[in-house]
Amino acid sequence: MVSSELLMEKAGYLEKDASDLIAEAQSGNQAAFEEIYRLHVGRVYAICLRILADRSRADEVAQQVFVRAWIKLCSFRGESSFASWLYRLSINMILDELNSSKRESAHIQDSGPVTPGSHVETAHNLKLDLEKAISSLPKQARAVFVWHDIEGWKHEEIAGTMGLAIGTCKAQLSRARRILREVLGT
Amino acid sequence: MKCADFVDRMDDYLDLALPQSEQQNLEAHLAECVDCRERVRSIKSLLCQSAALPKSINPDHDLWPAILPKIHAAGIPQTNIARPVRFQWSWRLTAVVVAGAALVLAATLFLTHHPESQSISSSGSSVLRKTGEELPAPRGQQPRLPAITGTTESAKNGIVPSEDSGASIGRVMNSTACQCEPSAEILGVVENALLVDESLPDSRSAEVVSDRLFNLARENEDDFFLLKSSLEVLPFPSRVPDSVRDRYRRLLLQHPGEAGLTYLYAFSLYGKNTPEMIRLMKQLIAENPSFPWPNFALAKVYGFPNMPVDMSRSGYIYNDPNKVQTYLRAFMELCPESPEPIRILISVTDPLFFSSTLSHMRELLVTRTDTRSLLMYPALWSMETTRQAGDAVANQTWQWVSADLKRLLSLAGGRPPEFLSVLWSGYRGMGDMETLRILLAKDTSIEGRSAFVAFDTQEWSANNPAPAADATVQTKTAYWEKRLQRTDIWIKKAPEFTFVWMDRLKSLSELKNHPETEFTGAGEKVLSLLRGGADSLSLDFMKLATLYANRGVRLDQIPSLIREGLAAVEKRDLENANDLKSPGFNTEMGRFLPWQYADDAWHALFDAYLRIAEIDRARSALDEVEKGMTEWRNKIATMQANTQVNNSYSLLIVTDGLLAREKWLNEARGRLALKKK
Repeated sequence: MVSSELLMEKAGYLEKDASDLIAEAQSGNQAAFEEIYRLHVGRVYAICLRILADRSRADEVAQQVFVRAWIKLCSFRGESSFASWLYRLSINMILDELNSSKRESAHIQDSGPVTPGSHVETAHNLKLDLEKAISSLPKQARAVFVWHDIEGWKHEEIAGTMGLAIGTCKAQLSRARRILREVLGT
Repeated sequence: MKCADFVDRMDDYLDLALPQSEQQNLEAHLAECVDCRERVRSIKSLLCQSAALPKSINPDHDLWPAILPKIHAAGIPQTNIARPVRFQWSWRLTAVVVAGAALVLAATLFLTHHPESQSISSSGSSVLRKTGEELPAPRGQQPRLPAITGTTESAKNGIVPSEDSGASIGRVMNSTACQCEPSAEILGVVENALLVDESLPDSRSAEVVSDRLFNLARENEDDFFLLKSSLEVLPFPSRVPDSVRDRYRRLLLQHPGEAGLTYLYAFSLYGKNTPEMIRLMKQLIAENPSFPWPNFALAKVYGFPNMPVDMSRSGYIYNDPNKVQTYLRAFMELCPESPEPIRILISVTDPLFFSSTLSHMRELLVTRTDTRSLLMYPALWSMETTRQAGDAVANQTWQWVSADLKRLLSLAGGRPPEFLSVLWSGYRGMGDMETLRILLAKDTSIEGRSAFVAFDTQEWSANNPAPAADATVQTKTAYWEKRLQRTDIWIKKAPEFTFVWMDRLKSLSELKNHPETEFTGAGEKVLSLLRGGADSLSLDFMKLATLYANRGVRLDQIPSLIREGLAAVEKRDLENANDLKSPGFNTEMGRFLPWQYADDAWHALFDAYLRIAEIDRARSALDEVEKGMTEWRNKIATMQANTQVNNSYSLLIVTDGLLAREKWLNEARGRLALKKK
């Protein structure tokens, strides 16, 4: 058996166990919740930023996600992964934001692609360019592309989540890939 | 087909969403159309880049200062008084984690059985619902099993009960076989069964554990997963006793056609009668399309030897990356939440399928807490750090590994000894030598002790470079004395390993000031370990012979030692034989190393006899070298006949080795003639 002393040897720099943190946060400990925030903010922010393609909106929605998570924390009961629970909460908040057509029209035009950026030389630049190109995609095509090709969802799941027909979903993915190839010149 | 038709269906083609016939039509078009090939290449490149994008991006500025006042205003989280006190206590107790195995198991069982917890479930991140935060019911939730009573005396003693002991074998297929993973109870039983008496030799411990699991299966209504685990702990595809196959054959004879037992019997044929195994597995898939495991077994067979994709696959009869993917996909369709594909993902060649499966596997593993799943982390890390291209991806991966390790440490309490290997392999990968040393020093398993000695040897050698050939005698003696002292630590840590004694022997062979009995004593120890057969390299017989000859002791034993070594190599080949390799392929005797070591020993013996002017015996040694040369020439002819390896680097090396030996032989003949005069 692995002894508890062994664990204690490394305990100096160990963060608290995640489930313990959640339990503490559920009882109202804000410091514990801050630790949870720090563990998960990158993942939440990434999906917000990629789908919304707008830093200030991503900031805003990511904040809302964590506020909502705090409020609903006790509906998380520990059998599923907390990351999955939070991820799904994020998706719901993002969808709400996307469906807010009034605000949407002020930020994103469902139009053609922007022109390609600077010359691509390194893998790092290539990734930056790809991120930039994704952010330039039309709203629906972008969401479908991010969920299908980056997050690995199936068309059925995307269609169900976004309230689209599967055929529409496929068409949007095809459109996104075509635009990205044009923009990136690959 | 026109290009426009192809383009219409290109995305479905790339996502493998088309029926096979249509997929083939598109492939036929691709074969003859340069433009469409370019289109496909371009999209694949895009998909590779997309898959490699980081899953985590930190915001430009900290969002917490803006969140804090909002949660402060919201008060404490809602409904935190809804749970029964007992549940809360138990759940928190589990979260404390650093507890014994019994406590963890008890907490797991409590959670599984608790009425409230049964309504809580997870289905992973991909199945979403728009409303509410409760997740839908899990896929493949298993029927409840009767309470596990633990090992009985017969199980502890490794005695196999009679197969017709009355358990209802029909349960195998009716309940758990259609499921993807064992229940928490069964997982707990398997974990306990894996704890073995460390005094047992490695080769025997697998059989003991297998018998124990088999007995436990019989006690638990022939639980499919226990029976399956009983097979999986054995060293397939070779060195599995016929009695095991016979055990499953007899079970199947009692219940002909039963799918779970057919699978188990078919698996027992892996490596022994693989064509029959494949036939049975395919038949099972045709008759029971929802039964996942035949797909996994076939992916395993077609992936053998399960090595990195850039290594040669020639000589492995069934190796077929396309089939690996086909069967692995089928398995994953049926068991999307199973982490088992990690075990064979290394054989997958398609980069898209590989990377998407790999990230899926990570998502699954980070939610798991059972030992069986956690033991898969090193395989995950290995693939993430070797097959994912680009510095940014590598940096991200190491961050993941670092986070994984913190999580694993928090989950380490009460785990079986194997769990430590997950931790130290992670810290080794991270280059955290300080933690690696602490963990290795704690690991008393065979693997852990072996790794400790390897690590310490490497570190010691780095700090104590071997003296140059022209160094003074004093420098050389000081070095070998220091090394000899270090071998005390290695021997104390792993006395059953030949290599630690060989190291001691080598040091003593360089230290002529030590008594001969000390040297021969270490040699006897090496020999007894080699003849005991536990964890020894057959080539060590020849190395031992060379050291004896160099020191000029036991010269009369050397010819028999060399022959014993070659015979041991042959025996080992026979033990490792399986029908997944072409006959003679990849055997030790098929390589040059045994002959090279044998030659080295004969050379040393020749020199030793020449030193003491035993001319006839020296000539006999030369005759043996000549015989060995014939072997070398025959092997080179075989290599040259094989067009795949002709002009290869290895052929050049071997040919070079042969020329050097011919040169040595001529010189030796000259020296012999001179000595005679």
